[in-house]
Formats: sequence, structure tokens, C-alpha cells
Amino acid sequence: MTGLIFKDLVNLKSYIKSIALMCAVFLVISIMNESPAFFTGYIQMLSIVIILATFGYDEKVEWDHYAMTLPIKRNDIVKSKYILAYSMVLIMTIIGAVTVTVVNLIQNKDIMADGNMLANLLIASIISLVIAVVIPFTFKYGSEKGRYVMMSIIVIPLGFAALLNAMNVSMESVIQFIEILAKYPIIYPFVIIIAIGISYMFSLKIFDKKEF
Amino acid sequence: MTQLLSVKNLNKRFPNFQLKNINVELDGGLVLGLIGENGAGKTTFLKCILNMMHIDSGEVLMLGQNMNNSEKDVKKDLGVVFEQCPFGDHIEIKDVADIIKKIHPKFNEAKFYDYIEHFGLPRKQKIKTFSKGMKMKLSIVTALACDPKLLILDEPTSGLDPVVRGEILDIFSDFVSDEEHGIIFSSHITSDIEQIADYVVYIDHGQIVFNKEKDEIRDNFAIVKMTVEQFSHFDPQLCLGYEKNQFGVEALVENKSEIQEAYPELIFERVNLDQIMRYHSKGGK
Repeated sequence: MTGLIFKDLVNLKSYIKSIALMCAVFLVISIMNESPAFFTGYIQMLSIVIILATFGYDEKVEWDHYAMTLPIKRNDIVKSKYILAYSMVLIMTIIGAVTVTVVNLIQNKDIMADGNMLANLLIASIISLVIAVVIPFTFKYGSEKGRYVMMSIIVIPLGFAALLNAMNVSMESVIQFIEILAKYPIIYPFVIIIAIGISYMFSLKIFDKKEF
Repeated sequence: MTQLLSVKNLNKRFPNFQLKNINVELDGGLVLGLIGENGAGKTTFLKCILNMMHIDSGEVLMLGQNMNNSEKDVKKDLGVVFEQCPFGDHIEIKDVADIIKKIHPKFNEAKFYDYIEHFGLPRKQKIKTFSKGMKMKLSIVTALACDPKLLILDEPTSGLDPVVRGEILDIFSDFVSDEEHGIIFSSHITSDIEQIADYVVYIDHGQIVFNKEKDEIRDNFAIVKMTVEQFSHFDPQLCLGYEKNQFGVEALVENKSEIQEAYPELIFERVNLDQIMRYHSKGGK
């Protein structure tokens, strides 16, 4: 299984270089503007983009066909994608947390000030849930449809909210809901673990039945 | 002699196609060549025996073990090469070695690099710069470096020039020189099959047309050249397929000796696998 994760990282080599450059630019801008929110949101999004890219690379060269001839279990292929995806989320969350801490220290503020740290955790949780939906879908229908699902889950609610805002419709209930979520960050890990568990079971079933 | 593959009554149905009652065996020290037109079922058959597709019925034993029960163990002793090189564009040869050694317990890195050197593959170039032939060599080298007992090859010489094809076929011949190793080799380049196969399995529309020793095919199959008049007196049951041309009729037959006795006036010529496939697909046209 480490070989599978290693294979994904090797495939991502040149892609990650360009992403890292973009991240560095956004990071500098965030620190200079003393506003880490955009940067933390952006890098969390990258977790999904990167994991979908690994599926795309595999599809292009029919890696899964070849993997089926190697002494590995189908479960290992599924497991490797989850480990990679959630390792990315963890890394991005840590980078986000460090960025928020640095910016708050520059501003002589507490690290939890302005809600940026909480926003970082909340976004990480949302992205984790999105990944839990996207991965089994991608195993079933491929990376292109997985990208559409990702965009639908993220863009449609945001687009809907923007539309309501533009129509001067009250967003009070939405704001109240977000405030409730923000009050109880302790539940995030439990919700995420349950979601990942369900997602993983679905992916195992899908991949086990898959024919190449 | 080890039995490397035993397939009994394999059936696999698709909406528009079916692999039907496939029975194949392969012992160690032998090469089994798989021929057939595009869409005949060769690759489907290989995928079924590799558990890449779930069969509807039948039994597949590889290296004496049932794939459903011991898949991971069996696959340690397999080397498989498909037409598509499975390594991404940005990967280099060193990356291939690093990936496979983390996955395959029998990967021999020294042997891998020896083959790389032998085939002149560039170590520091990305795979996207490789020609089709170079990619195929890399796939073959990777399979051989895992010290397999059974090599399963789907169009392995496709895209290779005749010189390299010859080298690869020599390596395959060496590979089966003891009785522990075997090869299943699917190819459209029937001259390659004729060169190294011991057995030939011809698949057409999902069914086995014949499964015979190569020598038996050479001795028993023939093209019979006749005039139209002679053909009108020829027993049609003896024809596997025929073709009319400006000189008369050429018919494919199987029991050459018996037919020669019955029709001593006719001209019999040796036939190759290409011709067998061509005449068989023509049938009575």
C-alpha cells in the first residue's frame, strides 16, 4: 500500500510544484494583508483537487488494470486513496493553522482571535465531508464525474447563497446554523470519522464489484 | 512438470458478447499462443483468468491455486504485460523501480536495471518522451524483474521493430527453457506466435475454435487449391472456409492426410496462422 501512495506522489511531482508556487504566492499575500482566511480556504480545496488528480492520472494509463495483476488486494487500492486524501487534509489544516497563528502573532492577537482558526477547522471538516462523498463516486463513475460532483457540492450552495444575498433575502437562518456549528467544534471529529467510515465501506463495495 | 494454468468451463456473459465454455491448460516449460480477431475475446479471457472480471461460472486454477481464495499469493508469481504502459508521463525509470519494489515482494532491482541496460532504455528521461516500443520494453522488463513463474502477455510485441521483437522473443524462449515457467501470449503478430508458441488457442466470437499443438496445426491444416469444377465435387463438410479467386478456389482444411488420400489430384499447400484466421472468418463466403 505504501507503494500505491508513493506512486500517486510521484505522479503528482510536477503538479505539486506548480501548486506549491501558487500557495507560496497566496501565503505571502495573506500575511502581508494580515488576512489568512482566503489562503486557508484555498489550500483546503487543494486536498480534493489533488486526490482527483491522482484518479485522473491512474485512468489515463489504466493503472488500476495493471494494479489488478500485482500482489495487492483491491482493498489496498481503496485504502491508499483515503490515506492520501485525509493526509492532505491534515497537512493543509496544519499549514492553515500555522498561517493563522503567524498572522495573529504579527497582529499581536490571540491565536483564536477573529475566528480564523475556527474557520480553518470548519473548512477542513467540510472538505473532509466533501471528500467522503467524492471518493466513492469517483471509484464508481471516474474522475471527470467526480470533479462535477465536487463542484456541485461546493459551488451550488455558495451560488445559492450569493443569489439569495443578491435578492436581499434574509440569510439569518443560514447564519444561525453556522453559528451553532461554530459553537461545538468538538463534534466535528466524530461527524467526520462516521462519514469517512460510511464512505470507505461504500468505496470498498464499489471497487470490489468493479470489472476492468 | 508444474501445471501453471487450468481453466475449466469458463463462462462470462456481457450484453452483446459471451465467453463460452472455455477450457485451457498450460504446463510449465510451454508457451501458449492466443490468436483471434479484434473483439474475439482474447483480452477478455486474460482478464477473466486474472480476476479482473468476475466469471459467471467455471473454475480457474493458477499455479494450482484458486484465484478467488489466494489471489495475492498467486499474483506474486505472475508477470503481466498489457498494451498500455501503466506508468505516468512524468515518471522516470528510477521511479518505476522505486514504485514496484514497494509493491512487489519479489522485485529484483538489479535484474531490472540489467534489463534496462540491455534494452538501452534511458534512465533519466520521463516516460512521456518514450516511443511506444520503449514503453512496451519497460513493461516487459518490469514484469520479468519480478521473477514470475507465469508470464501473461497481451500484445507484448506490438509497436516493436523486428530486431527488438526478435530479442524479446529470445528472452521469452529462455524464460520457458526450464519446466517451472510458462507464457500465455496473445498477439496479432501471428508470426511471433508461430515462432515461440507450443500450443495455439484460436478464439472467435467468445468460443475456442481450436486448442492445438503448433506442430499439429502445421501438420494437419492445409490450403487446398482447386478449380471451380473440382470444388463443386469437394465435400463441403471438409472445408473450414474458402475463398474464390481468379484461379479457382482455395479452401482451408484440417485433416490434410485423410483428404489427400481421398483427393490425390488436388494441390495442398502449407498454411500459416494468418491464413487459418482469414479463411475461418470467411467461412463459406
